[in-house]
Amino acid sequence: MAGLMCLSLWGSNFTNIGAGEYQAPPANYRVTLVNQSLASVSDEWISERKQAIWIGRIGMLDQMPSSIPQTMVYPIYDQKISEQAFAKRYLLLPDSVPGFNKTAYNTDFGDLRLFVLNGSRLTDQRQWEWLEQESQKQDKKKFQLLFVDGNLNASMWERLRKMQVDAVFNKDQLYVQSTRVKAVSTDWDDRKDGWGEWQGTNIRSFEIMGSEDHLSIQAESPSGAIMQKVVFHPLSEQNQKKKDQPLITYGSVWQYRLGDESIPITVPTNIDLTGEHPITERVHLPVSDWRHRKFIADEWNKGRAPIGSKVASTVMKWVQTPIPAERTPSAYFRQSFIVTDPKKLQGLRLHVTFADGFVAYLNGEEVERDGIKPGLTVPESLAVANEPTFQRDYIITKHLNKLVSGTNTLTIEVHKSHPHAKEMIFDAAIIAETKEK
Amino acid sequence: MGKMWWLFLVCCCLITGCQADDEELIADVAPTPKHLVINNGDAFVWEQVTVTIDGTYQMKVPMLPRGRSGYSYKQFSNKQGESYKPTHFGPKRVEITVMDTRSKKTSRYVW
Repeated sequence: MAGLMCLSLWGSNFTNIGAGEYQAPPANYRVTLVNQSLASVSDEWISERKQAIWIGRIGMLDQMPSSIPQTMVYPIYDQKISEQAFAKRYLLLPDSVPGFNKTAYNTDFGDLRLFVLNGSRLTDQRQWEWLEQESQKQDKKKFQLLFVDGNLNASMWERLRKMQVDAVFNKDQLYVQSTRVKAVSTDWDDRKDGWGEWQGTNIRSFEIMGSEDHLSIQAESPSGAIMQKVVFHPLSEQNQKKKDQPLITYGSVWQYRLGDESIPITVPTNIDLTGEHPITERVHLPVSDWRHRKFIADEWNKGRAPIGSKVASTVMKWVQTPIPAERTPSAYFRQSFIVTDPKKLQGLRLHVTFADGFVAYLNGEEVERDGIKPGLTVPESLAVANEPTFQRDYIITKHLNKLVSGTNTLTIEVHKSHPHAKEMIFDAAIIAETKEK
Repeated sequence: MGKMWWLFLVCCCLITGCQADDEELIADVAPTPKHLVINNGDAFVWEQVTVTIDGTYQMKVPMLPRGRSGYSYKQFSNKQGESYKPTHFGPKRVEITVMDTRSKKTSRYVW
């Protein structure tokens, strides 16, 4: 029985190499986000941050050494005291949002713009309207960091992404916009909304260091060990306009076949089949595996996308190539494209139309999945019941290293939520971003 | 009194004899007209899986992932190589056995 299985999973880290090796220019400015009591820190630790500005929740700042002038300290409102008491204690803060008693404000420092929100009033639109206005007021591009002690919902994350906030700090959690990150040192949960999320435990401080247009953030333990380091793309690179280069367009002709036990699938030995742990190593499949770049699929069918089951009364009427999808829970698709020089690419986006779930592979390595459980998938695997999804975008820039010069292959398996479900649809595009000359 | 004693002994033997050493799988089975939907509710991928319908028709797969999978009845066959053809009422009994390759123990689920 030819290999019955398939792999899976979710590689959840940015370019996971290089952060430790990256040599940023010496820091011209430094912000220390205090996350724990500083009662036991040494004088040396404090003096290293003589030129820094300090930020933290009120409870943490209460124990700041007296040698640090209050003008260098920026508090995050954490409801330990009333807003009125907060305004009285921190007289020097700007009164940015009417009615918020100085609990929401911003300040510029070097190439940084720091925003502090009142986490107990996140649903109050006045705070968001102010934030949107302020984020647009920039003579030159700055890194934008946001500090909050509260729960952000999905629409708030989307607003922050559109405002081009680079990073958000919330207690032990650090969030960064995936596209802004050049490298991270430890595993990262790369969310589907464009944000990367990292949570540490027992973090003493986040050290935010920058010079000219460089920025890095590192989380430090009480012993001074670096638990996480994030290096951002320089501002000068971010300011460069990017140009889209379609590698595969919607409506392309794909090789395809229905899924059954004869599809040649190899289960790699170095991945977690349950899908609970991210793929941290490169996956190397044999040429005989259907996902391999050089797999010979001459016997597969060819058809123009959208490919699926044509049901006249539904959105499936747009299907260009009908397939008898009612016979099987899954279908498999292959498409090749040329990349002259992957090193010149700055970003990579995948766009997929699907029902009900899919797993996508770039040159045999998983790059994205949606609507289907993580871990091993087989041709018989069933997706989560979904309405058909049209042209959903996925940022897969972190997988640029999976491209090779010459011919590359995007392979996608689509699964229905029930073996007898009538609706199956598939189309996909892949777009590279290059620097505009 | 003697008869009661023997009856007691027989009952004890039956009860202990029925206790299987096998582990129990966390699973669920849902027959459809053409497929058998199996839900692996365990926290691990089942390996060396045998699924038997009505004690006769077997399907063997090396791995069965977590979550739901839908297997065509054509994949189930008897010793003569005949595929399972469901009756109006569908399968009466489905048995899943999984071999733990490390402990050499069998885990089982019966529907």
